[in-house]
Formats: sequence, structure tokens, C-alpha cells
Amino acid sequence: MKRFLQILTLVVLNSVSIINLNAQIAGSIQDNTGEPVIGATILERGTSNFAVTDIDGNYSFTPQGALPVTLEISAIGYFKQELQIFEVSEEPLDLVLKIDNLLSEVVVTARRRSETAQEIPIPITVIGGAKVEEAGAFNVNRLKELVPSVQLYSSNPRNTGINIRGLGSPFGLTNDGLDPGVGFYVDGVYFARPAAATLDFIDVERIEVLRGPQGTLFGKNTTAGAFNITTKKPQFEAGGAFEVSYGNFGYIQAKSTVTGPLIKDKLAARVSFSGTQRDGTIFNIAKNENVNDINNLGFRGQLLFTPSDKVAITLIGDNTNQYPNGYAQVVAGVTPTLRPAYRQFDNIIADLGYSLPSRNAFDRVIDHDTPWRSLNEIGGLSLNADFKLGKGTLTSTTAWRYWNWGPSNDRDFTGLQALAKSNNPSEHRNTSQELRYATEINEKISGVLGFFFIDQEVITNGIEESGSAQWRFSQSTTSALWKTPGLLEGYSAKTLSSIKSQSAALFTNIDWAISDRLHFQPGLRFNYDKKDVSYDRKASGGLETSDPALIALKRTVYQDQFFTANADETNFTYLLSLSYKATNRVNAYATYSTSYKPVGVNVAGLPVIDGQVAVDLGTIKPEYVKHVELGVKTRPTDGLILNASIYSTTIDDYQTNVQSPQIGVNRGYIANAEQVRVQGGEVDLIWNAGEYFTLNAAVAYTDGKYVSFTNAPLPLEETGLRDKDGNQVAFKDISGERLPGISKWSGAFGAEIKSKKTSFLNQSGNAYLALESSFRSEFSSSSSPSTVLNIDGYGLINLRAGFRAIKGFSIQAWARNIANTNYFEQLLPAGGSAGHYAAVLGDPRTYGLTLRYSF
Amino acid sequence: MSNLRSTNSTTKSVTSKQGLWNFLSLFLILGCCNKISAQLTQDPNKETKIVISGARFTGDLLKHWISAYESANPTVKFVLEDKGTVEFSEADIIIHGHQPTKSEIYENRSYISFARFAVLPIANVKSPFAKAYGEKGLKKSELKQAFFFNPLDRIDEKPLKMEFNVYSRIQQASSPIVFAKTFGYEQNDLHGRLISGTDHHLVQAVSRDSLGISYAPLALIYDLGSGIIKDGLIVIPIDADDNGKISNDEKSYSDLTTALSFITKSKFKNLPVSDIQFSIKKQGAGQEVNRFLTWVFSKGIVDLENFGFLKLEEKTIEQNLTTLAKYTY
Repeated sequence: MKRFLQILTLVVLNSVSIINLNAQIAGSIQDNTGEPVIGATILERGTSNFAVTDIDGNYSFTPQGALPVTLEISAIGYFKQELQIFEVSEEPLDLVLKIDNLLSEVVVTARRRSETAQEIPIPITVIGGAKVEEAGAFNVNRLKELVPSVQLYSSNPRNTGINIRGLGSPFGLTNDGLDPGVGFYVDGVYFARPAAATLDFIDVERIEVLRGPQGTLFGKNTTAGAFNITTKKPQFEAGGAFEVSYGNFGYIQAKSTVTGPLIKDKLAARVSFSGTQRDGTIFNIAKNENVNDINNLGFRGQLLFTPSDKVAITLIGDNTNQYPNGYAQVVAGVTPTLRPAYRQFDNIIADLGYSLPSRNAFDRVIDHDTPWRSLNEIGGLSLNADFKLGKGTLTSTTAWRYWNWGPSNDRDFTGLQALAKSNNPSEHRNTSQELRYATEINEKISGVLGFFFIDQEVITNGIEESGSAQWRFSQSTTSALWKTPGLLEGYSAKTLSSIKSQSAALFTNIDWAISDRLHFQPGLRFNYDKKDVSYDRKASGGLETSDPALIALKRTVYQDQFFTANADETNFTYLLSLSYKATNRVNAYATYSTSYKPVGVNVAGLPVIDGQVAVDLGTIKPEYVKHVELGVKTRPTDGLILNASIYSTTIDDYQTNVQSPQIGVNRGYIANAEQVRVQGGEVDLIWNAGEYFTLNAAVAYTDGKYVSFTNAPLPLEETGLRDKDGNQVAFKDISGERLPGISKWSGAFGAEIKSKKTSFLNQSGNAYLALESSFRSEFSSSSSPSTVLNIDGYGLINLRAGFRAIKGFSIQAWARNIANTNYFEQLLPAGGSAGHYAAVLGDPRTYGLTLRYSF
Repeated sequence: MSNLRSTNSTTKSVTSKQGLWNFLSLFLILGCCNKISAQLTQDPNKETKIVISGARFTGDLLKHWISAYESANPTVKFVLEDKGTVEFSEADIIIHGHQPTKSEIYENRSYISFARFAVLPIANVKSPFAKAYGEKGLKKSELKQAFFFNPLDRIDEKPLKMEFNVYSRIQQASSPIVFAKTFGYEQNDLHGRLISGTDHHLVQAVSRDSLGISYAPLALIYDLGSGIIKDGLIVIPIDADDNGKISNDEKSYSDLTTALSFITKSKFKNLPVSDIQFSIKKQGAGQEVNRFLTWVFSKGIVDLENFGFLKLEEKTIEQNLTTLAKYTY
């Protein structure tokens, strides 16, 4: 009987419990002006159970889980509110949502502590993960359409340069001996290879683009700016999302992410995957195939361990592979050079009985005989640990990363066997360690102190090989010996080069609140860089001959070259920044900073000048950057953000890439320009005009000039220039001329209009229509100003429309470059400077559909 | 014929009216006699029910009083109704921990204070907030930053530079109302995570969250048995006199006795302290309600401090007893 009563008691208690669990709660939601909030969503955390307020702001809701349950109440234009139900009462649960007047008050971690973007005296653009996904900006190349100060030039993943305000990487082919000036950080880990910029973003939470030198905030080089990318973290509540996109050109993109706890409140995981495929947009008639396709696969796994509330450890592994049949460049034009007539491109190919398949690059037709291949694999492991120590947080970021590069290029850009092979496969390994302590010393002073070390090695085992037609391109005299059968066919230069480098830095950045309104933010950086380079090129093959005359001819194409070089450098830079919060809506700042980009070493062959290898070009001096900036961040009215800045950046010993007419240095070499200066202004506007309309606009004016570059290479059309005495001229003074890759005007404009909360396929959400557009004015695509290697300005318009569900299925139709605008992203002279040049073509119009399911 | 019928009818009608008056008179007389008789011969064993509702943070004290009163008065039975389950106008006694708002004042009810209570900021003892302010205390501007929604145009305070989660009540309740009003706000201005439950759940939420902060009445902050602060909690001292400094006196929260002593002698404007009132139904509440309340003022109040409440001044208690004696039901 007693047991029966116990059981009965349990049953009754459970019944009571069940009644509680399933009891309905009800109430109304108002905003802080007393108006009912229509369409607010009440979501039970960890479930897909939700309700939506009616036209009077009323709701009723039945929690599913055992009490206490947590509800998230959200509505566009309001701060999200969390509500924990400990007991269900009959009393109405009326609550007030606070109007979010600061919709774009995005919290950023650029200064290694959480602050709002408007507070910090740094010109910064923040793009949320949702915008990145919906805008289809799945890599930096597409992101640049949203941030006009960002330029990305990529003729393939290796030869990728990210610039901010026209500075960062030298224009043209990448030289491993130079460090990028734009830091690329993902979850605090420095990605050393610019090739990372071509990868698909996976699970991005937020992208912060910081403009201007940031050396006192980041471990590695940020002389021109930084990308600070934060990915979504593992969660202790199960969740996930799946997304698939289909489009023209056979476009398929699939993304998934799943997260959840492994050990309650202690260990959580997130696994994310991204795959993108698209057919090529260029047709190779020689091989009857489309090229320049996309074939990307990416994986990212994370484990978050929180042994106590003072420690958070994140282990991240990632691997991304690209296997495109791609990165072909299309001949975009032929220019006469100053060489004799027989050395002009049209005469050369006429002699060889060849004609281009098209002289209009936008026919998107090639006949390249050497396959284009760009095997690009990047990955690594990192361990990030945050320890709450004293008043601050100590962060340790340890990373090991790798890059494997397996290219095949047709760098003569024709169907001729001229430069039959031009492949420089590389392997890059780097290990880095950053230690950083961010703290509030007292009420007035906070800051960050950091130490950074990176050890890198790049090994390249490349080959350049001449084909049967190379003799005609290399023919530099009218000697009949050039026609010797097989003279250059199979003649190659095999290169083994390596560069080992170590960098160490101590950096600190302080925020001293002199008063509530006036802040002084000084920063210091001590930097050490060491580089050792070894370059060993051996020429072989071609016609076996002992004829000195023929050997001499062969040596004009390739010759053995061996050199080693090393350099080390220490330098000290600083930042002085003053910000004044005139009112709560106006924050003005002034910054002066200096920065160094490390010493550079040449690892792509050196030019032969007057018959001698120019070994003095083996190392080049570090860049010294002086930067001054004035800016103001304002909120003229609620929902409106208007920021502006003007700046001037002067670089002494600017490290630039020089394209040599010599075939043996077809990757170009690096050299110092005495001084360059970039000046400009930027205006950014974000307007949340009520609940249903948002607008963003950004305009940048950038004026970049070589202040002094007296020893610059000749532009393509001046190849073969001779002085009045008939001596060949290799260099010219381009002081006062413009820098390449910089449009004077660039801009981005976007707008989105969305519906009130509505229902679609039983999903609650908003329908929306959005437009993104970007434009840039004409710019130079040649290190030395050229009359031909210039790219006309262009504008692009993207549209998207769909239904964005709070949880569940979302759908979006999108179209990119809806006007099908033809445009060049980059123009590159072909190796040997015969007069033809090729283009990296922008994508034609693409369109498709994206389905997304989140839970 | 018709006239005769008419006359008869008139006669009957007059007779009926007289009978009705006679019946009513008799009914009234009997009724009065019955009432007098009932009052004179009231059954001492008949059970009387008193319905009480209102501020739940007084629950332990109330249960203690009820238990003591029921022991001495076995025929009186109390029913504690949750707020929301009974209309304000229906309960015999409603307890208000704050000055009743217009919507809470009913003409058919009387209001009388019987104690005071204090609401203090609390934090999870392991929280960064506790480490930053547990010892040095919160200035008014810092407290505002921590607990109250900061609209854009409020520029007088600096944001606090640590992570913390504020917990607050969703239902209108005495503790948040008193806490908010002390600093010039309304309950809805409190920001952070809302709790549907009681003040006890606020304390529970803070204990469970290593970033948690909230506010609570003394009765729920301290262990009433030992008088020490409950495990996992810390009281955050405040600049009670609003002079921009937090003296050692203003940190007197080590145990319940010390806290009560400090708060009792203080008249500081920054200390969230409020009267607790009985709201009594004027009509329909029996004499037993009056007897119970009189018992509270004469005997029950000795328990106030043991349960974390502050006594009223003697003079006020005497006035209230006098007032109670005047109430007729």
C-alpha cells in the first residue's frame, strides 16, 4: 500500500509537472514607446518551437521543454530579449522590447577587445556573416564589391594580392620573397599566404576590414590594413544549417554546419563544410572544353573546451582544396613595342602560321595548348586558449599551417608551343605563436600587450620549358641560327628555391581615457625579421650542341643562375591616436603611425644587366610607412551612421614587382621604388530607415603616386627602347606617375527592402528584395604606367530576392552582374614582352537559387 | 357586474399590499433578531477563512505568522493565493512591497504599512562583476550602467568593461519596482535577461550563472538560519549617500544583522528601501482579519528582523494599531 501511494504520488507529481510543461503562457509585447510590437518572434531556445505576436502585439505560447526554459524574443529593429520561464503563472507575461537605435553598432574585436565599431578610432568596415552569405560574397574577391577600399588581384591563387587603399602587395605576379602588407587573420590565426584570399569563407560570423597600418594591434604585418575574420563558434546548444545553391554555368554550392555539446557545458563541437562547383566561363577550342571552372571543397572542425568559467580552449582544424581547371587568361590585346618589326607579336605569329582564335577577349575563347591547372590546398591546425587572468584575458594562439600549390600555366597565352611549361609548384609551412594580454589596468587605462613569432619556409621546385615555337619569340637578332631545328625545343630551366624566414614582434596598444570624451591611444611595435633565400636554376635540354654561337643563343633564353641571400632587420614603429567624443553622436579621431614591411628577398630569378646577374637585387630594403589620418564617426539621427576619413600614406622604399622583358625572369623580380604616396578620402553611410528598409553606401577616393621611382622598368609598349646612342634602355623615371591597381573613384551601394513578418510554407520570416552594386573608375594594370595596360572603369549590379525564415527554410533567388557587363580585373603582359597581353576576365552574368535550412 | 368585480378587486389588492408589508416587516424583524442572536451565540468552532495574496518575498514570514496565529486560533484558516490567481479586490489581505500604483488602489480597500524591506544588488560570487565591484562597490552611475537600459542619448556614464548578465523580473513586482524607482527608473527600464518566476528565481539564476547579477530583498539574499549570505552570492555595496565615495559603513553587508543595522539607521536616498503594506478589504473582511492584523502589529512584528525585514518606528506602529481599531467591517 505504501509503495502504491509512493507510485501514486510520483504519478501525481509528474502529472503536475506535465501540466506545468504544457501550460500556455500568454501576454503582449510592446516597445518602449508603448506601441505593440507586431510580428515579434518568441522562440524556445534549442527547439524550433515558436510563436509570433499578432497585430495587437499579443501572443500565446506553450513551451515544450522542462522548466526552466529559455525563450528568445526578437523583432527587427529591437534588441533581442531573453526570457527564462521558471514557473508558468496565470498572470500575463507582458514585456517591453527596447528599440534598437544602434542597429549597426556592431561589436568588433579588431583591437583585441570587444568594442562597438563606432567607438574605435580606426576606419573599419564590418560585414556580418548573414550578409556575406546572402550576397554570395563567399571569398575576398567577391567581398571587394562590398568594400570599395579593398582591391584583390588574382591571376591564380598563388598570384593573389589583397590591397587596401591600393597598398599591401605589389601589383602583378606574387613574389614569395615579399610579405603581404594586408594581414589576413581568421580567428586570430595569421594566414601567411595570399592564396588564402581565394578560398571560400566557411561559417563566417563577421568580417572586419581595417584600413590603414595596424601594426600595434596585430602580430604580423598589417602595414596597409587587415582582414580580421571571426568564424562561428561551437555552441552548447544543438543547432545547424544546411544550404544549397544552384545556378547557371552548372553552379552548385553546398554548405553545412552542425554544432552542439559533447559534454554538457564543458565540450562543444562545430563541424562545417563548404563545396562549390561551377563550369568554366571560357571555352578552349583546342581542347574542346570549358575552363576557368570552380571546384572547391572546404572543411572546418572546431572543439571548444571550457573546463572552468575562466578558461576557454578552442582547437580548430581546417582544410580547403581547390582543383580548378582554370585561371586561364585570355589575350586582350596586342601592342607594338619599340623592338624591331620582326620582334612584334603579329609578325612572330604570322611567321609561325598562327592566328589568335579571337581578338576580342570577351568572346571568352582560347586555344591554349598547355593545360591550366591550379591545385591549391590550404589548411592547418590551431589552438586558441583564453585565460581570464587578473583583470584581463591572456590569449595564446598557436598555429601550424600549410599550403600546397600545384600549377600548370600557359604563359604565352596562345596555342603555340612557345613557353610550353611555366610551373612553379610550391610548398609552404609555417608555425606561429601569439601571446596577448588584454586588460583594463584601471578605470582610465586599458590596452593590449602581445608577442608574436612566426617561422616560415617556402620551397619551390619549378620548371620553365620552351616549346617548338619559342625560338621565334626569343629571337633577338636576325641571325639565321635562330632557325636551327630544335634549338630551344624542350630547353628548360629547373629551379629549386627556398626561403626561410622568421619574424618576431612585441606590440602594445593602450587606450587612455584622459576624460570621458578625450582618449589617447598610443601603440608601439618592435619587430625582428630574418630571411634566408637560396635560388638554384639549372638550364638543360634543347639542342645538344657544342657550337658556341648556338649555346650563346640558348643562354639568352635560360642560363644557370645560383644565388643565396640573407637579410635581417629590426625596427621600431609606433602609433599615436587621439579621439574626441564631441557628443554621443560624434566621435572624431586623428592618427599618426609608422610601420615597416619586412626586408624583401628575390626568389624568382634575377635579371641579367649588361651580361651580369644583378645579384644586388637579391635583397631589397624594407618599406617604411608613415601614415596620417583624420576621421569622424557620426550618428546624425537614430538608425543613421555616417563616417568619413581622409588620410595620407607615404612609403619610403616601396617594394614593387618589376616585370622583366627577359624570359628567364618571367615571374618578374622585386625592387624598391624610392617613395610612393597614397592619399584619399572615404565616406561610409549606413541607414536603417525604419524596420523595413536599409541602405548602405560607401565611396572612396584614392590617389596613389610614385613620388620618386627613377629606376622603374619600362612599360610593355616601350620594350626595346634605345637611347640616342643606340644602347638598350632597361629603366625609366616614372616619378609623379600613378600607382597601378588604384581607381581614383570606387564605391559600393546596397539597399534592402523587406516585408513585415509573414508566413511562407508555414515558416515565419520576411520576404525581401536587395540590391548590391559597385563601381570603380579606370585604373592602371602595369607597374610602370602604360598607354595600353589600363582597365576601363566599370560598374556591377547584383540583385537578390527571397524569403528569410527565422528558423527553418529560407529561399533566395539571385543574379550577379545582371547587366552582363564585360570587364577586366587585371591585364598582364605575356612573358618575353612580345607585345601581347592577357586579361583576367570578370565573371559574366550568373544567376541561381539558394535554399537554406537552419535549426 | 363589472363594477362589483372592480370593487372586489380593489379590496383584494389593498389586502395583498398590507400582507406584503406585514411579511416584510416580520422578515426584517426576524432577520435582525437572527443577526443579533447569531452574534450573541456565535459558534466558537466555526471555521473562518482569510485569503491573502501579494508580494511573495514575504512568504516565509507570512507562513510563520500564519502558523503561529493558527495555533492560537484553530478556527482560522488562511489561504495563500498567488498573485494573478485572485483579483486584487477579492483577497481579504493583499501585501504590497511598494507604494501601490493607481491601478492597484481600490476604493474598497484600506492600506496600512507594517514593515520595511530593502533590495540590494547581488552578483554571482565568481563573476568578474563581483571581483570588480564586490569590494569597492558601485557608484550610482555605474549601477545605472549595469542594470538599466542605456538609450543612445544618455551620455553621462561610461560603459562597464566586463562581461555580465543582468537578471530581472518580467512580472511587475515589488523588488524591481523599488529597485528601479530608487534610481529614477521604471521596472521596464531594467535590462538584461527576464525571469518569469519570483525573486527567489532571480537569486537562483544568479547563483547558476557565473556572469550573473541581479537584485533581491534581504530575505532572499541571506540564509535566515545562519544570517550569512547564501552560497554563491555576494552583495554589491552601493554609494548609498550618493557622495561619489563608498565608505566602509556603506559596505556593511557581511551578515543579515549587520545589514539590517546599517539600513535601519540610514536614510540614504540611494538605498532601495520601501514600506510593506497590507491592503485590506473594507467590506466583507470579517473581524477575524482585523484581529489577525492587530496580532501582527502587537506580536508578529518581533519576527521581522529574523526574516530579513526592517521594523517600522514604534510611533508608526502605535498609529497603525489605532487606525486598525477604527476599522469596522
